[in-house]
Amino acid sequence: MSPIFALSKLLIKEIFRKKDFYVALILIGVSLFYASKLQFYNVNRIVRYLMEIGLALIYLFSMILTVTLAARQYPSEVQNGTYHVLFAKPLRRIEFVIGKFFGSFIAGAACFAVFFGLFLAAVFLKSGLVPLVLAGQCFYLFLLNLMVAAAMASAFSYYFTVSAGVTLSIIIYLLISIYGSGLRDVGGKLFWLSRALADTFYYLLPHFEFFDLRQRFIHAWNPLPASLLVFLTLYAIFYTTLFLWIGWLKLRREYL
Amino acid sequence: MNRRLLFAWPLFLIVPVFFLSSRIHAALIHDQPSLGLEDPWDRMLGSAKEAIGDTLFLKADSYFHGGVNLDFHEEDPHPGPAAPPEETPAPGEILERPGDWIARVNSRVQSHEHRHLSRNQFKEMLPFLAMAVNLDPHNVEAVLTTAYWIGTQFDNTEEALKVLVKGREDNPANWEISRALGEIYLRKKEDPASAERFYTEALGKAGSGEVKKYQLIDLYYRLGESLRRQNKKDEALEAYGRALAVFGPEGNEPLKREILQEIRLLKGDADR
Repeated sequence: MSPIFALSKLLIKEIFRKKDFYVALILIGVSLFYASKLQFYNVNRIVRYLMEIGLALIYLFSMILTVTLAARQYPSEVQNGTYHVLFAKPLRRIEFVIGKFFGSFIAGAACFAVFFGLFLAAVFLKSGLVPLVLAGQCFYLFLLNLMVAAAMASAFSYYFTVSAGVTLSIIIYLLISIYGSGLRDVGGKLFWLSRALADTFYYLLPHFEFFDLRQRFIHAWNPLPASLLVFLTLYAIFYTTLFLWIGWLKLRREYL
Repeated sequence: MNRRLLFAWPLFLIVPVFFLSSRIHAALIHDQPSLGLEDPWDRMLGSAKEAIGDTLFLKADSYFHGGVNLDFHEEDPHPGPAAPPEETPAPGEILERPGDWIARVNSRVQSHEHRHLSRNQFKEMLPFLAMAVNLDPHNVEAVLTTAYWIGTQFDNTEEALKVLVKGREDNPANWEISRALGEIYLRKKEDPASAERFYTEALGKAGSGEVKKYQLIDLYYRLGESLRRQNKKDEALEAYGRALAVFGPEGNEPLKREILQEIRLLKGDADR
């Protein structure tokens, strides 16, 4: 386990060393500040629009930071020539795959935690109360979301270049998040080949919209039952494992 | 030295070209009609502004329903008062289309219950209504809905008037906005003279478009009411008479009776 943690520590330091995180933090902070100052028809304590804007921003930035970090790990090791040095150590390939993924995920989760804290502070200052159970569930489910996305980007990094991996990961994430629930219905109205493709995407790809609890959080619906949370956790673990396995399959055939 | 000047001659043209181009630009701007691009939203979004405004209006509707998008349903979940009770979904009922396990998980994570905002939550729609009206001033439904919520639910008559006045400027041919203005002056501002002006204007605009019978009756009736409050009895009677004339055999009986009652009262006062 220690090689995995050693690799992960480096990635966590990497994300806070680079300026991307700070740029995102400043953008989110400024956007939340100005959004919270808006007044509409002299009515006070309107907060849901702020939650909508805030959650959209922190989800988007967290996803971009995590995916770009995960997607550039393996290609940068190869490009810098450190790949061979790394494997001269007693490091198994599966440990490399898991370590790089784990570090990307923890780094992304740390960024998300900071953004989420800032968001909750803004909401609390505007409205005076925050539904804690729903906030906790929203936070937890998006962490699962980041875990699957990091694994997906990590798997793509063993097959594609950095730009291709990042682009593909983000396109799949956005496609499934926005259209995932209706993909099959839309595909049913198309030409048979497009329908088959839509069905394939619908059943094979992970459904990121499962982890999107914004509607419930913003509109104060009831929290999810524990059984559903357990199912979603197992679902996320399944897809994470699948993507890591796909990445390991490519790496184990690489000649040093 | 001469060689340097030979290669540097284009630099001497930069200054006169710069001033000449700015003069040409200023002349062109002066001669062109205003394109209405003073608004920053116009400059940023162009013609997409209206599409975004319409989307935000739908978002406001979604907010009214607790974040549920009603396009999930093929049928309107508010079928109207004439619909049999079993067709109207009960509050809290999950309106879920049968599907595979993925659709079932989605229906549990994303709520699809049918509910409306409570009174103290109506304000949450206001940002989207404000943006919808701002971005698409020709969306009459957005203008009327925004004015209704501000004027009725938040009792902010002045803000509602501002929205309607702006809406009237942006949609000069629309009778519904004139009617809504008449309603505010009659009910809230207690100014029947202004109400009469707006109802008359609404009737003039409605004559040139498609207006349902009951809407026409309503306009004449309210015009009659605003005239009655100004003690203009003859004109009020004429307006009520026109409302009755529009009624068909299957008219709204309670309203018909009310109009007849008003006519009787006015005639009774006139006889005294």
